[in-house]
Amino acid sequence: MTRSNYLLKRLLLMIPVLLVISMGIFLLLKLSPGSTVSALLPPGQQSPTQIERVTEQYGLDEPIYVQYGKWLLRAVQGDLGRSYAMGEPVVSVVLRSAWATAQLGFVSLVVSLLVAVPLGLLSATHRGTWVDQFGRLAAFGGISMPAFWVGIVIILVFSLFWNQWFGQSLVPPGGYVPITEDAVAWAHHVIAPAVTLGIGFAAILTRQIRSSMVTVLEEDYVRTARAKGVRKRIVILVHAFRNGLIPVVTVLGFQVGFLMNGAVVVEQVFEWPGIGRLLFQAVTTKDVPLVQGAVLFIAVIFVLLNLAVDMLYTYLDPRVEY
Amino acid sequence: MSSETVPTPTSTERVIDAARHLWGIYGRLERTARISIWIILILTLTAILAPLVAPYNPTQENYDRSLASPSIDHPAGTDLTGRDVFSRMVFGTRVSLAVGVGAVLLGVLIGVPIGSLGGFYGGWIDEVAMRTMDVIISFPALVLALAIIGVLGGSLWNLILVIGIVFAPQYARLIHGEVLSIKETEYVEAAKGTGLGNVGVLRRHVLPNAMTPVIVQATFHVALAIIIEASLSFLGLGVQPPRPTWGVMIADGRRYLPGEWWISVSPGVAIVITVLAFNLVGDGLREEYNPQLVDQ
Repeated sequence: MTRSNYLLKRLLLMIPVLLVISMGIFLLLKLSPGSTVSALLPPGQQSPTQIERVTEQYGLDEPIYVQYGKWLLRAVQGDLGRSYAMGEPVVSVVLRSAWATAQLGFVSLVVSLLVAVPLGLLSATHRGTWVDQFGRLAAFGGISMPAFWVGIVIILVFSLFWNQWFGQSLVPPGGYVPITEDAVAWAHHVIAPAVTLGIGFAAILTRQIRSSMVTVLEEDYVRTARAKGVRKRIVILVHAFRNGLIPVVTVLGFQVGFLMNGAVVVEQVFEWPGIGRLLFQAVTTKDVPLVQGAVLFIAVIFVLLNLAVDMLYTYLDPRVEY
Repeated sequence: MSSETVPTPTSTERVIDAARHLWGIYGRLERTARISIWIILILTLTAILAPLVAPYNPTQENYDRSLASPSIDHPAGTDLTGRDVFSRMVFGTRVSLAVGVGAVLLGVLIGVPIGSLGGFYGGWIDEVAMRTMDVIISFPALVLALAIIGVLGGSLWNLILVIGIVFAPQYARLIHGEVLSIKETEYVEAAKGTGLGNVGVLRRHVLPNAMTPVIVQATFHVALAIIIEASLSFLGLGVQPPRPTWGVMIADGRRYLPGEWWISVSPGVAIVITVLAFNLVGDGLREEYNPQLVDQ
């Protein structure tokens, strides 16, 4: 199969996947306690005319598959209803929050790579020594700390205690400043939540980089390069690292889910107005259209990311057959 | 050909044999994993014997001792209503372990039959089921759990149910792959040749050999389930007060930062120790069962 055929096949496969997801999300509306009407309309707005409008719009007096069809038709046109807690179309609320999460996710990805690449490489090249053992315990420690608690400890030490000790805090205890308004203040606000979110991610990456580098370093071409007289450092960084990266990229794609898990609680702790916090607020206020919108958006991003990872994989390893 | 009777082992012999086998595994684990097993045993005993271990009643309010610092009397201090933080942590062990172990058991009970039957019989139903599992797996667990729990409401049983359902597809996919390769082996052919039915072959010859990666994954999942439970409880969507849970304690303690920092920090330390212990045992078991990884 050629590369473009493979791409086409992957794109077509996305359709059934997205259909299954959309059914699940539609069912959220049906599963919520109370009538569907009250899930769609805030208590104050349940006048007979409003109820009639919603019933007609969503086809609530028709069989469930018709309701699903109507909902899906509106969803693909970008109409996910109105968030009744915010009084805005769901799509615009979701996109705004997604932008905030994207910034946070990007910074924490950079932070995790800065930690994980050196630690993973050192663990692989110093296998079995105390460096390796330290890397292992550090990585498992990182995975084992709940993100929300790490966030609280960071706020406690670098914001509250720091303020008591030195008269001013090192990082603000939460909040968000748009990067377009004040880039310095933005960086000041983003660093603590990004580090919190990045710790678990860095831990997973460290383990992955270590194990794939260990495999690669035993390959014949690495020994050949060394035998030719290429310096060890060059062999590790140039010859081995590019191939060692391949499995890491796969993990990177899958572990964005891990990052998203963290985002729900970390955004809450640091009052970062991202999609994780939005989802939580939607869940607690029983804003069903908003819950659906946020979950659908996250799902679509996930399917696309997995696709992107697959594409990157074929670029990094041309031997991959489609 | 003269028939020979093979002596069937008695149940006592079976137990002794199993114990010897487990002891052998324990002996081959590396040190951090062995220490972690002891930590898990201590935590389990703490959960079972919580009323004996805890120095105070975890819900007993004592306003004379409101927000006391850590001391001999109160090793982890007290909260606003004077409840002993350490005693509440001891009782919190119960919820964490119950959700961690309960959710994983449920996930295994749902996932293993689906994955093994599908892998054994194949066909288009299997194909559809496995693609659906792929979709659920690629979804962030906490987001999925949050959406479902938001609809169902938080309680101990709902947490176990939701986390179990979120985990189930991973076991289905794991055992599916194992069954696919094991069903082609010669000993399975031989078992079929003896006239044993499909279900019998699957249950007695395929599954026991396919369960190893499931056990390893389950150990890691207990750790993850404890973190998800704590996260949901922290957000106020988990087990409801007054029952003490680590996540709720951390959330409550936030209001008293930085002055009374111990209320939030101590339960977090309990979570880290517990989750780290399960992760290290999982890592040890993975190395034990997959010798190729040992020298890596």
